[in-house]
Amino acid sequence: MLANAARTACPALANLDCGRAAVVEEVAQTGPLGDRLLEMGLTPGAPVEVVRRAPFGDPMQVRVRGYLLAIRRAQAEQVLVRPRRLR
Amino acid sequence: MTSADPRRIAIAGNPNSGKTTIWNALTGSAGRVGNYPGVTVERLEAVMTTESGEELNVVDVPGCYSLTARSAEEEVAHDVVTGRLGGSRPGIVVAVVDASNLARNLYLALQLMELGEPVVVALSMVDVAAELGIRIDVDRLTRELGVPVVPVVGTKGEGIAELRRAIDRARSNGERPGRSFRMGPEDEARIDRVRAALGGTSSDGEAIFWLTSDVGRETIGDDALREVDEAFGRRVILARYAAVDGICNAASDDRARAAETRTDRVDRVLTHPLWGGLVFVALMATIFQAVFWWAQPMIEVVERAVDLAAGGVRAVVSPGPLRDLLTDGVLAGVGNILVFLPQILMLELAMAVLEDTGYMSRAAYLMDRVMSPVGLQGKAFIPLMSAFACAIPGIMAARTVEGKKDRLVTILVAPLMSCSARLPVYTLVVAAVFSTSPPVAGVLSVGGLVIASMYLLGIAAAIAVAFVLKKTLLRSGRPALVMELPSYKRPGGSIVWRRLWRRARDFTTQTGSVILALSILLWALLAFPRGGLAPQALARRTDRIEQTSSTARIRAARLEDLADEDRAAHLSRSFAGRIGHAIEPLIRPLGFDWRIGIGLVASFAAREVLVSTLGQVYAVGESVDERSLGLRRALLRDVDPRTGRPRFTPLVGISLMVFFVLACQCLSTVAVVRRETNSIRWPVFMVLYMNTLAWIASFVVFQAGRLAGLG
Repeated sequence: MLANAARTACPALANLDCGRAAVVEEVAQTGPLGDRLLEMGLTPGAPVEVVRRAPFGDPMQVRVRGYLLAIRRAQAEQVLVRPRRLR
Repeated sequence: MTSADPRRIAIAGNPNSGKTTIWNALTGSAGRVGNYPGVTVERLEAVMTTESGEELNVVDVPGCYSLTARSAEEEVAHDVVTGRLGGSRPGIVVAVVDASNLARNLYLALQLMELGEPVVVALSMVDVAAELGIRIDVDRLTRELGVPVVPVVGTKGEGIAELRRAIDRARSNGERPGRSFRMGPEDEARIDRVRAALGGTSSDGEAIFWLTSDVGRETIGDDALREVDEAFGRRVILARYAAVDGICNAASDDRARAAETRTDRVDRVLTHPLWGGLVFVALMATIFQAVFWWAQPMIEVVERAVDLAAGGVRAVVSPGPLRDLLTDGVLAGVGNILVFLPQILMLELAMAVLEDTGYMSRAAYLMDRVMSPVGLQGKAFIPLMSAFACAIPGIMAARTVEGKKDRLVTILVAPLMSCSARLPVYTLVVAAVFSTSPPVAGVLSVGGLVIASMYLLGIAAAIAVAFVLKKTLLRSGRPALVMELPSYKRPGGSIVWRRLWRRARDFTTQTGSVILALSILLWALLAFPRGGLAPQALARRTDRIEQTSSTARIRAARLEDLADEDRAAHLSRSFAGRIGHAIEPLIRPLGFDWRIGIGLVASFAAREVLVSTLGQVYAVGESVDERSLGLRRALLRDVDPRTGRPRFTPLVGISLMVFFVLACQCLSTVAVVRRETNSIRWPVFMVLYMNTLAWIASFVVFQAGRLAGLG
């Protein structure tokens, strides 16, 4: 279901397939929550990967800057990513 | 800005960075714990000796990822480092940086450096980093940062002596670090203007804090400085991270980083949608078992010790008010405090191990979706579950819940979970009025079903109340979840023990004093004014028993009955009895008479006291428990003189149980909520809402039951 979600030019982290390497493009979330996402290391250019999703698809486990981050779908939708080309 | 205290040192770092281990290695003591006024963030201070033999006051900075004051921890962290909280400004800062997670940890270290006081970086977890294949060039890192960097393996004590020497050196040469990044000319001008406005000695870090935090912007006053756009804060974060990336690229090499770590392998099971769920359920069942049953032998030891002490007092002090005060007031109060310790410590042990291994955040991750329909987060699950054993450890465990409002909601609904102290009450009532009912569907005992539905009622009420509170008084959106899942590690024995020791000390001294005072007050209500049957009547009847009893055994039994009657007469006239009579009109619609009223008053000490109090009120001897036949018979024998029907019907029993499910009757719980919320308002609110709810529910049950022709 999640794999078939609509892909825009810049998909959200929330819609990234598990294990697919990507790079953060932009944090669309404004305000303190957006700052928080940036301070946790989701800065533009940082490599990011969805490791797995919890039961019912929410929240999800994300690898960023070498550590694991749990993040809700609602927040992951605000992080736009650029998937790396598949080899 | 106040000048810094050179004898004060702050230890700061990310959560899970190994800060506690380094703290313990440096200070070698548990330190003094307290709370910062108005917030529930723990305040921790201790003393350390430097290599040159000087004693420094060490202050713990709550684990945080940033100093921008967006959460209670962050705000306290900022205020401690800048001396706005907890006394003077520390003259030196130890920044603990997790080598296995360099970038995100350096981000905080750079912020600490911006504040301008000497910084020493303790590079922790170097062994873990090496295992992961991350190579760090410490000399290069020192040069890039411009502050001393000391690699440390806290658990083995490696590098601690070197860290002490580095602290000495940093103190004596007093080199002040600064900002590691530059911004555009306009932003630089802004920072300069705020620095000037704050005074000559202020640092870039202070200026940036005032420009980016709400607290700061409100205080600046100068309108020209207030025009900062939100984007400024974001530009600062990006510039700082760019500096971090530069430093990491120069000083570390993770090209050889292992593709899969041990944490990844463990997580494949523990956060697996199916296996992870099963492991979680098994773990929770074990913890519940531990708090509910394994603590039982320790509780019995405590109870026996208190009984022994009371016996000792009785042997030494002659009968009278003083003796009663000591045994029924003071010792009972002390018992009321100590009796909670086994369960509190059992749960605290579980929480400490879960947190220290890194599992706790996985539990929160797994439960997040389950708890969110109620409006709560995953972390609220464990406090609520443990409240089934006892609300007190549950309420204390709510400290792990993020967000002030969510934590309050968790605290306020935790006492609705049927704790183990309600069980004796349920058991007594069920035994008294349902023991003869035929089983449902041939196998299910009515009593068991009734008790199970009481547990379900508590859960349903907790869900409903949490839902309503989240929509009204404690309105807050579905909280965001952005939570680190730290690498798994072995729990540190000394960290766990210190935490248990602190929790025990904290509970016995700070909450215990309140419980003791309230226990003594309750004793006084039950004990005064003194007197039972009229003295002449008592003497006359004693004489008659002495003369007419045929055997010694009969005489003893009849004297015992008389003594019970005397006690019942006294209770009826005591302050508690008067309260019982006074509240009778209020509880009559629930099906309760003044005798149950006394039981309700007394059960404010602890719910299970209802059973022994009813024993006294119904004059069936002093030592009854929920299984005793005497009290059950007395309850059933007690008929209403007007109708000739038993007063204690199954309907009254149900009504009484419903009241006990919902009412807030535990003084110790109130005391803990008072302490944990640091307010009078919330415990008062809790007592009011719970008891109102209990009254309404019992009223509905009793009146509807009567209309339906039951009881």
